[in-house]
Amino acid sequence: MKIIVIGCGKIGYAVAKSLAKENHDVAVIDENPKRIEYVTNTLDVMGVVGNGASHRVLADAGVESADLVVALTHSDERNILCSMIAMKAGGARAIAKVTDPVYSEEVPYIMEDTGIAMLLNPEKVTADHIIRLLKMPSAISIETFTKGQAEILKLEVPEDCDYLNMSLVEIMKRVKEQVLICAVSRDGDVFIPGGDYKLQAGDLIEVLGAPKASSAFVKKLKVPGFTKVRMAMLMGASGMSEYIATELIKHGINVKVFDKDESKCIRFSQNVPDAVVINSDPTAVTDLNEEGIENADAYVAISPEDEQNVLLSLYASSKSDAKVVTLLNHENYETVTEHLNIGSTMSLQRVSAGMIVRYVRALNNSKGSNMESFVKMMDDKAFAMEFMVSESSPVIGIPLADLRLKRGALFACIVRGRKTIIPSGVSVIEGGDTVIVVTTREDVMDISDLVEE
Amino acid sequence: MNGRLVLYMIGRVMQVESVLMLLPFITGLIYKEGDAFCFLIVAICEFLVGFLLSIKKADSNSFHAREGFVTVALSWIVMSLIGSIPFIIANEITSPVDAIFETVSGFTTTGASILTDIEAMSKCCLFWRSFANWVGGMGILVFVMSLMPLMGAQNMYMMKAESTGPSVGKLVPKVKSTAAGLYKIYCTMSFVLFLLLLIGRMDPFSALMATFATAGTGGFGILNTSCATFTTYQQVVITVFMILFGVNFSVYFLIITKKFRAAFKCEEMRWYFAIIFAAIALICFDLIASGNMIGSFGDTLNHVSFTVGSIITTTGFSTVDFNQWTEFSKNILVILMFVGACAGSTGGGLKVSRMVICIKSVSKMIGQSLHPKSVKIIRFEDKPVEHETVRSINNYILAFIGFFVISMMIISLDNYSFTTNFTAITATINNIGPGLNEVGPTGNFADFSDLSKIVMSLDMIIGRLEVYPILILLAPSTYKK
Repeated sequence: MKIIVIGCGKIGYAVAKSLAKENHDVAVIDENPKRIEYVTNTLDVMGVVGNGASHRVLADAGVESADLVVALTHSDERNILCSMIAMKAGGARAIAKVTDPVYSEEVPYIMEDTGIAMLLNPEKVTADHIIRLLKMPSAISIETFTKGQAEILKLEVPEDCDYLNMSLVEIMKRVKEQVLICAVSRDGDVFIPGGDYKLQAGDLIEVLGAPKASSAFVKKLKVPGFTKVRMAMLMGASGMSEYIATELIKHGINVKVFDKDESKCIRFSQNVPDAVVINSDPTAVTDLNEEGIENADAYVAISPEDEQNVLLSLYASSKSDAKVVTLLNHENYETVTEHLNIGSTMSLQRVSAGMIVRYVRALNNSKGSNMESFVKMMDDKAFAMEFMVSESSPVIGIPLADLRLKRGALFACIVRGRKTIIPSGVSVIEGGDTVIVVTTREDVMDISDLVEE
Repeated sequence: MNGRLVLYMIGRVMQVESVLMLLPFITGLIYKEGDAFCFLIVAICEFLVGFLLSIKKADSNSFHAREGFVTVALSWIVMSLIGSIPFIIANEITSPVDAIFETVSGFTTTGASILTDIEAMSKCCLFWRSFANWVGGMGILVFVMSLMPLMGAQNMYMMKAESTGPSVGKLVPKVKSTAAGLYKIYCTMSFVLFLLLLIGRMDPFSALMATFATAGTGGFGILNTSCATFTTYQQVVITVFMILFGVNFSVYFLIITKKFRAAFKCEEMRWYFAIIFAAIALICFDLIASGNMIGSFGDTLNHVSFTVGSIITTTGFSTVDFNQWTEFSKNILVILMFVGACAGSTGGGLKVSRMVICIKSVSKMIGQSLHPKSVKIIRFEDKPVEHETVRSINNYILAFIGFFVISMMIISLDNYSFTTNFTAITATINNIGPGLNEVGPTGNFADFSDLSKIVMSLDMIIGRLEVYPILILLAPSTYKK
């Protein structure tokens, strides 16, 4: 597809990078020539210098034949304007980044009147990710499917797990939960486990199932940190922390927010009256201690400064067993901090790029196949995809054991109506089912790509 | 420095060259020439070596600007060295230095020759010379990139290093499709030219050779008299196409995508045509005024247009011996040699866009001297030009002059006249071909010493790759850890 990315900040760059990697024709627009120079030198994309809201600049980037325009500049208003002009110029779909909560609350209204396909609020979607993690603190990451009917949890197998060195078949017999270990990463190798796979301590596993079943499984596996969060500490009073605090308070969780900027604290307190807001520099550890950091069940470092986040998370990990979430905005820091004890890492650009790739995949497929969503797992080495199975699909009506699946592919889950089914060899896919497929293959575009010809 | 990956790329380039070398082999078979097998042998050996070099892909994919420059510079050198071997083993050119000079001249689209009797050469060797013009015109790595999915973004470094002009951009988002798009335009235009020459009753072999040399703005002829014996129709066709191949290819891309207004507004193209028309008018006027008309007025116009087109696009074909013209006309030609064609074309020289930006920056300087606190932005193609771009153009011209002066010092050891030395370097470093006096349209480069020939071979590559790749290849700091 032809995609134009307007605004090439951190998020724009991450989006352009993921899209170019997916082999789309990407053009980027930015007003800063140096930035364009950098982007075109490092990514296989075309660069145009200029204001993305200008029709002429958009035309230079090929808006007439573009399928999608993604506006990610720093200004919400400009993003909306860019989208509208781009839609007028070429009939492309548009995604606009809108961060201001004032607009975010009016999303349906804006979308209806402008025809913008998606309003992306990176802070909100990242906040959603963090909230999900806090609700299930044992998981390293969580992805949801079919409107929350199924989810994939990433877990690390603990040392004292009862099922170590047992084969997958045996474990499933004992656990008696409708879940599936659908991908495993052991020492950097990512594979889809067979029935003879034996669990080892330290393995990273992706577990698929209905939310209830998978949380029961996590408990039985004895993954640490499975205590309900009662008190959460947030570092940084930003829009993102407002989203998180509001949601946590709704669930009866005690929230304490730290920020050194008084005006931010005041605004936060106005918007989230039930939170305890502390106007203090969190790096001055005394106040953290005073507020009881060792009693915190969750610790979320999401200030705009990566360095501060990393330091504070390290401190928190040393002081308590809290679930730690660290926000990293700088792309390269993820590799730098890989072996640091800073819990789950999050980044606005990774989450945003994920959302947009997911949208583009679905868009691409609504043309031919019917992929509903697409998620990368295990450092992009495995993928989970959700398909709507049509009545004419070649996989219908055949017991799964008789389907000749390609290597590295797995029918992981069937969602039929309100039922979430972990299929066995005798299961049969019916028309209208939603199927979640897990694969390490990169060439899967349709469900029929998984079956040998 | 990721030497492994550079070697891998060079291996790939060698494989491509070896496949291209099968074409002269086939030509030789058609004309039943024994020389054909020299090409086959070299092609097979080169393919094997290339295969060995690229058998193992490098572990690290790190490929940055320096790797890009070094790959391009080395590829061109390797390609020229290997391309000269068939001439030597076929015994068509006895001295290795001469053979290298001739091949470099081919690939860099210079068209300067050391041959005193071109017509004595076998058809397959003639084919290889002219075909080198065509391949070198658009660039071998651009060709490789259009065929093979290599490494994605990193290719841009090579594209930038090999393509001409102060700022190289893409036509479409992907490097591969941009490269393929350029070659499509190039092939289509070449094919139209070939057809038009066939219609003009040129025999197919000559028409093909003329097409290769015109499209690449190379200028290798297969006759001792270059294009003098062609019919007026053939000369006019070649004139038009030389000038067309000297236009920035992004203009053609705009035309293909039906953006006619944007194509017509291309500032560089407008300057280019303005310079051509002014030069033709001035030379015609000068020749008529000084009583040096070449036949009728129509003939004069034809020959002058041909010569101006040939020189500004740095092709180097000739229909008349412009060495006999008046000093004023010759001066204009020498100036045109430096101006060169548009950026992003197959032509050489300093490029019209560089010249225009230079002139604009000088006029900005004048303005700033008059109004010391004034702020003025240089605009080109209706867009502001970055200060960085202006600076890099100035540096480019300085480096260019540096190489020019050093080269001229070395070849002046051969004790030719100043005009000969000056225009010999001008003609080689700007990839034109003929100069004035001894190296004029009727002369050639055969009598220079081996040292001078090596210097001029290097100059041709320096001119074609626009200085920096060779400078970076030679700079010791490139290889430091």
